[in-house]
Amino acid sequence: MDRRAAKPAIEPLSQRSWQRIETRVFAELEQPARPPAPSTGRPALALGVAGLALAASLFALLQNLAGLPAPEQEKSAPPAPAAALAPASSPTAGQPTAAQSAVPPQLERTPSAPPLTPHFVTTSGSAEAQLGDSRVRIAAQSDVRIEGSDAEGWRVLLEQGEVSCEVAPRGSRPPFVVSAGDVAVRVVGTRFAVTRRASGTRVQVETGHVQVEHAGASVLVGPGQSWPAHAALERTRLPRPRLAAPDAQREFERAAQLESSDPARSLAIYQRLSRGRGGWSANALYARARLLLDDGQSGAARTLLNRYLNKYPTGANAADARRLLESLAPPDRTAQ
Amino acid sequence: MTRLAESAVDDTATQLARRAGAGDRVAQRELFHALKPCLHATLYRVLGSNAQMEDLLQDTFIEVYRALPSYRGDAKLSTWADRIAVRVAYRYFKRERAARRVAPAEPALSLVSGSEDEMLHREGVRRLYAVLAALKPESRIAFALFTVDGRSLREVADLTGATLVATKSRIWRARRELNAAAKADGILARYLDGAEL
Repeated sequence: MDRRAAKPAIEPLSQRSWQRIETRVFAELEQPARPPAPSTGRPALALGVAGLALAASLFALLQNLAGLPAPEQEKSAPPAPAAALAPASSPTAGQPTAAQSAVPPQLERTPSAPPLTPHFVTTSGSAEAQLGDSRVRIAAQSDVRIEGSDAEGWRVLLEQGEVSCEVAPRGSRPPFVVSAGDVAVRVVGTRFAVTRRASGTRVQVETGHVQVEHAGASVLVGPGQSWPAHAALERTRLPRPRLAAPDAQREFERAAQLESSDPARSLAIYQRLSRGRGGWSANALYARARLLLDDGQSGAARTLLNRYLNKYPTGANAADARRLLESLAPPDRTAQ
Repeated sequence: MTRLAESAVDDTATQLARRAGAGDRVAQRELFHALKPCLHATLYRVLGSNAQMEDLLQDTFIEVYRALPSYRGDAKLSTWADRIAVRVAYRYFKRERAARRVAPAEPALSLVSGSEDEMLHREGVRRLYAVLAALKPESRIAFALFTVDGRSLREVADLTGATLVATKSRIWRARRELNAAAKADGILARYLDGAEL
């Protein structure tokens, strides 16, 4: 095995992830620039501020050493995350086979950035999150974000994969909601599972009732029932998107790496891949168009982008392809 | 691609960067989509998974846009942006260590394959990143870029802002730790051996 073959495959980010990043980045750029640090040009004042900060730190340290509480610090500190995560009791439990990542709440963020939410990504194993008195089991190969608290209500954002929830009766407390794309599942106290794949979202209720909201309509789903009713049939008929040929993915990654160092070779690989079938073929077709556009071959890029949109109108890169096509419009249409 | 065509691509990137740096929103969007693949690939190699990827990509892009006015086109735009990504990853690792929240980075190994070799390869990768997670950020990043991503020593030194000697030393330290871990871990040993790491 050579060094290249041993490289771990790069797991692509979902289209939704990219959209989220893009939205946050450009929201941040819209913010007015932050004022410069007071230290510039005011050395005496800066020294004074630094001295005060040092004194405060020493005071806090002495308080800690003496076992005294630091009430101000407690007030300003973010609340401890109420969601606790543990590997599920499965045959692989106890081994680090499930990748979990609860975002540390104390990470520095820019003031305008949206609040951080615990983000769980599982790989080959499953995991469990305890949300107050409710429990969420996250299946392998899932991507889940969790917002809220027991007092404010919980919101589980299922990006991909499957969650099984055991929700304690909410009583008069705010609801427990699972969101999977444009489907929202509102719960008062029950056991149910939500699955989200490329083929769609499915809700299966074990006990109790849940309210499924989708496209402006609301449906009550009872014990032993599924939503939509024909979901099971759909799921078995449609191929699982993650079973892509690893060779095609490796080739795609190789081409992506060569984009800047050897664009001609990269284009050739993309072209070969785009003649095939499946997700990587679609990605390669889009990448080829993008690379040609970078090379100034806007006519060829436009043809490929149109071909991509004709073949894959809801493909992972469809929104990007439309955006690029718009950027290729005549100057009088794009002029600000 | 000819040298002339390559130079034209570089010129286009420089112009795009200049427009984006001047606040042109269309150029900023174009730049976002142009840099997406390379920044994601670089951060993925360093982190070993997508677990914190959204936050780190967000931070990287914001820093890229804020630093654009200082970009003069001396280096390739992607290389220049990669340097920023490496800095963002470095700061993240430092915070992670300081907070004693060292969660072993887990590669998102969701592409399914039935072969035993593939399974062992994935498990080897997972164990590799678990060992790297315990190292100093400098060593972790240098090793990932050099050995896992296959970049040259000079390029790693350039991206991390270190001398060649320091870079070699960091990689050597990481390799030493990995070899020690591999003595007690057959799967990791097999992976390192097969990967010629």
